Amino acid sequence: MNLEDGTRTLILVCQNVDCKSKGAGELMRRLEEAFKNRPEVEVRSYMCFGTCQQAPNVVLYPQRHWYSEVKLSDLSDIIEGIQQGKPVERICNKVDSGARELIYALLDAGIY
Amino acid sequence: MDKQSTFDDWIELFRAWQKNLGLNQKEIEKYQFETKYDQIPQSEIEFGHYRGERKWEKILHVPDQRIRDALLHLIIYQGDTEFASVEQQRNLLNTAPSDYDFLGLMRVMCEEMRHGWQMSTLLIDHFGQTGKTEAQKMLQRCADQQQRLLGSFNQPVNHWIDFFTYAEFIDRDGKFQLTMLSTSAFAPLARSMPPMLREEYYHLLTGNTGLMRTLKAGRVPVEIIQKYFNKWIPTAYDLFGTDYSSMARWSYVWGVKGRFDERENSQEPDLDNLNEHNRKLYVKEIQTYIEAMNKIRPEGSPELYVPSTCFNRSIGEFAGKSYDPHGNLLTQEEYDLNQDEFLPSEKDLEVLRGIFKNQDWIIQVKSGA
Repeated sequence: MNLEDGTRTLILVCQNVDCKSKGAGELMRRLEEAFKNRPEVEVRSYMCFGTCQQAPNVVLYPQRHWYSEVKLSDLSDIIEGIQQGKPVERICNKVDSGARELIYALLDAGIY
Repeated sequence: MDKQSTFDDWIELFRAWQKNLGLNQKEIEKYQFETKYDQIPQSEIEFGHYRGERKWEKILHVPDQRIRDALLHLIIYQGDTEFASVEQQRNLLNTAPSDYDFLGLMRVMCEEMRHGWQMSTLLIDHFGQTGKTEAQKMLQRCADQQQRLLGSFNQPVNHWIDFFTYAEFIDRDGKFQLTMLSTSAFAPLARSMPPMLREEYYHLLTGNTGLMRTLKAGRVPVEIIQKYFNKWIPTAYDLFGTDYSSMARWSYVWGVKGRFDERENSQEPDLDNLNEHNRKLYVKEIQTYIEAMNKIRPEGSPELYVPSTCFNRSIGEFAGKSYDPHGNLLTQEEYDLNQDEFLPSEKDLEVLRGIFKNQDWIIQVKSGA
């Protein structure tokens, strides 16, 4: 799934206490800027993923790429990965799989 | 009661309250209790009679004593619920099914205490000796002795299914109340809400994912989980207040408490049915979450549902009436005979005690809070 084949992508950026204290606000701002001309991408805040010890967290849906401990320096790789449909392996899916599946179940149910 | 002079006096009382509850564990001692304010999007009063005027920064700016009394009431009740929830939940630290859950509960409790701290700050900073006295009384009432001001907060939280259900549905009412206060004409109260709401979202997630982990594990009968929904959700309905509430009407007219969807709702409010309006939005929201849970419940198990707003109510037109959870009116005799089908029974507790002996009743999660 990548932008070239028209996959609609939701980029969810946690804006809760721990993620915000570690720069999630700026991450979100830069992602919004990067995709402002791509209507098939929506950058949205998410109030809590519950994986606060690995903050900041950014989740791509429906791709199910979960980025944790994201730094500003990771953003260019993340953006390129979204465009090419490839995850950035070094920071992708490092959070407990059980925790991830719970959030995906909520997203699958349309709760975001 | 000794007269409080300063906030430091209150902090001493707060520490004593924590110690009395057995809450001086090192994780709590590490937590930074502080007052937090955030910017609010509107500096003018957003609704009601004073709409368009500058929000009130100090209690002296509030033009009418009745409005000051209403604000005092709202802040006292909000603060009371925060300390109450800690009293209700504290014993669960000893039975956490995992480190993840222990740390999660610890964080929830610390943040609830901080919310109580926040409300106490407002009382002490803005309401003179009355505020100081009320902040003190908040630490003297106790859920264990059924002294808390609202019904939900005197109910026992006996085990982790109780807790997850409470966090999902009672904390969700908390989200609604905080959102309604976030549009308040009293600026310090409005500014207190965004940090509290952010923290509250973690509590909701704890409840929601706890229930989902329990359902996915498939060991706790879904029928029993439903009974805990039936125990807590009606108390949440009550937290929205009665219909035709003059308190709700005047709080709106005075601009101190808006509708849950105030900033998105351009329609004129029905001042006689404000509580019902908010309660309906709550029902709609919990329906969404319960539908999500039904998608992962064990195959062949009964569907979870939202109990009727007529069922098991303590206030309003349905108070004390013998409706079943589906909204059918029974005779009192029928209700009494079938009560164990609707609400958690001793037999259910016995079943749960057996299940809780093994950790496999809930999907384990490795990451911490």
